[in-house]
Amino acid sequence: MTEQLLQTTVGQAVWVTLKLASTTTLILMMAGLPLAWKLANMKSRARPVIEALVGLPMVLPPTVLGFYLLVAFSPQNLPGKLWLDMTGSTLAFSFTGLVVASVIYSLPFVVQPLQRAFEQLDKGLLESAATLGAGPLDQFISIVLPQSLRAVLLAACLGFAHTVGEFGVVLMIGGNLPGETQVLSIALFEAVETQDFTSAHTMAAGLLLFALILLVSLYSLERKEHR
Amino acid sequence: MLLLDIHCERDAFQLQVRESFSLNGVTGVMGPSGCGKTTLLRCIAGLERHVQGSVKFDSTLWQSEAAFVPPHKRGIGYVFQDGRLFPHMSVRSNLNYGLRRNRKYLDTASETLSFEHVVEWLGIVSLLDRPITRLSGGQRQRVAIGRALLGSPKLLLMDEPLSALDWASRTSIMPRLREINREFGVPVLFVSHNREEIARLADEVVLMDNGCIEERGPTRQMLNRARGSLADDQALSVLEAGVVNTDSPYGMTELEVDGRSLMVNQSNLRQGQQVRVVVPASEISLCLENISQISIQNRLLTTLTDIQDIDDHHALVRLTLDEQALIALITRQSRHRLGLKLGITVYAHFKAACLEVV
Repeated sequence: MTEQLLQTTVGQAVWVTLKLASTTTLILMMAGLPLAWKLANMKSRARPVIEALVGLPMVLPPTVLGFYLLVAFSPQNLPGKLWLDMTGSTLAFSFTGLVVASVIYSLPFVVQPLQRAFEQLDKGLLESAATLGAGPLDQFISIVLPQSLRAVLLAACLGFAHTVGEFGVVLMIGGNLPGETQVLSIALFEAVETQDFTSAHTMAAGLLLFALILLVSLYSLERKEHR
Repeated sequence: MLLLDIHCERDAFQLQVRESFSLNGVTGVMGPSGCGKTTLLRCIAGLERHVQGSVKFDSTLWQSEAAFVPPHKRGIGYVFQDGRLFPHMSVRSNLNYGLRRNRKYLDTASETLSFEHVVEWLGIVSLLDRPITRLSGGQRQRVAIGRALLGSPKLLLMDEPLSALDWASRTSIMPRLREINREFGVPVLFVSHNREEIARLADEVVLMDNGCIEERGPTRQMLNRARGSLADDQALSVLEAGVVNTDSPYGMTELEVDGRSLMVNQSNLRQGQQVRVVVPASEISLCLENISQISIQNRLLTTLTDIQDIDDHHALVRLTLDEQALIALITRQSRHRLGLKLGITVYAHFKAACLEVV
């Protein structure tokens, strides 16, 4: 009986984690591709400022980010109030809130590899495409994306993995609602707190294995690229 | 007709061009490296950002104070020095890239015809399904030329398309370039620092130096002279000739230039064909009397119409046939030994083997 219940808690945590990581990755790719392209081709003085803003989650303690998001999500402040008026619910302690936080938190892991690949792209190919009648969007789809395919894959993997691995931000804004906001890393923490080491072992080993497989795939991808 | 009034400033370089080009056939732009040839081509294509002024092609304003037509809407073709083929596509997809995007201007029948036509004409049928990475330099440039042509350009811009190639590939592509204008009826603006390429291909020569157009004129008029910026030890002359006899003994072909007979050792020419012969000035020697007991086949009777010392040792001599002229490079010592003067009659000797016929 207890074991079955535990199974469900772990199962739910896996489901929430996968759902969160997939949704976040999808949004990150849609926002990250144009953002990285814009940054790679930007010459204005605003560029380092934008780059710093994008990269902030890499150096900031997750709790700081979580704290400010919590403040922003509060219905007493403008973003939270707007969201409440629009949807009738609050962002804090909701799955949507987690998605918003994850997107911000994992943004640099998607934007930076893409930007690096875009910067290294042979711009001569784009000129060549332009003289053959391809407009900017056409060039992006037919030349830039296929030329940066590995970086796109790498960015998606990093975004996904980093979202799976987040803890601090989720704890601050998502709390610990099983089936809604309880992701694996939180469920693991909770299991240890309640001295449920069987579940803790299962989840820890699962996350370890996932990270290992992902990194091995990424490094072999990079090896192929250098060849 | 291409009307240019442009000013482009970049780093320490300035391009200032105010010219109109009638663009009949092949226009060859020539000049030392760094003189702005490539920048000029890029300005016309719309690839150069920091350019002011106006560019007008036929009745379309490509650039003015108020407007700028981006390169993908100019309907041009551009062959880059390094080919710039798309490495993630096969040869076929590269060729189709421009074709697909300009399909709306064409009807289906003429379009398929032109794909096969271009591919066969360039001799790249067997390469169609190869990846770009498995092509030689010469094959790459052929594909690049085909790709540009298949976009059905109204103007074809070529930036040193042969300079990265070895001699053999260069020689095999050159005749194709000469035919482009006739075969597809598209005007060509061709940039090169190689005088021989220009001599073989261009109908009109534009000389550039230091970001400005120095001089321009029909190819023969620009090259066949003993003065000006092309008067140096690399000088060469261009003759327009007709093929009169292809069955001469020993596989020789007889050409006619200004009523004089010229033998060349090239056997793939057709009777009646008009050809261009390129004669390097250093290959011509002068003789004041007609000697027949000599291995040299080509001995043309000419009149000396200009002579000019070009450095401490050499002089260039202009030898007029009737309409056309040859340029010979001799030493200043010979000039004085032979007592060369304007108006005297001279036999110009040159070997059949040194001639380039295109």
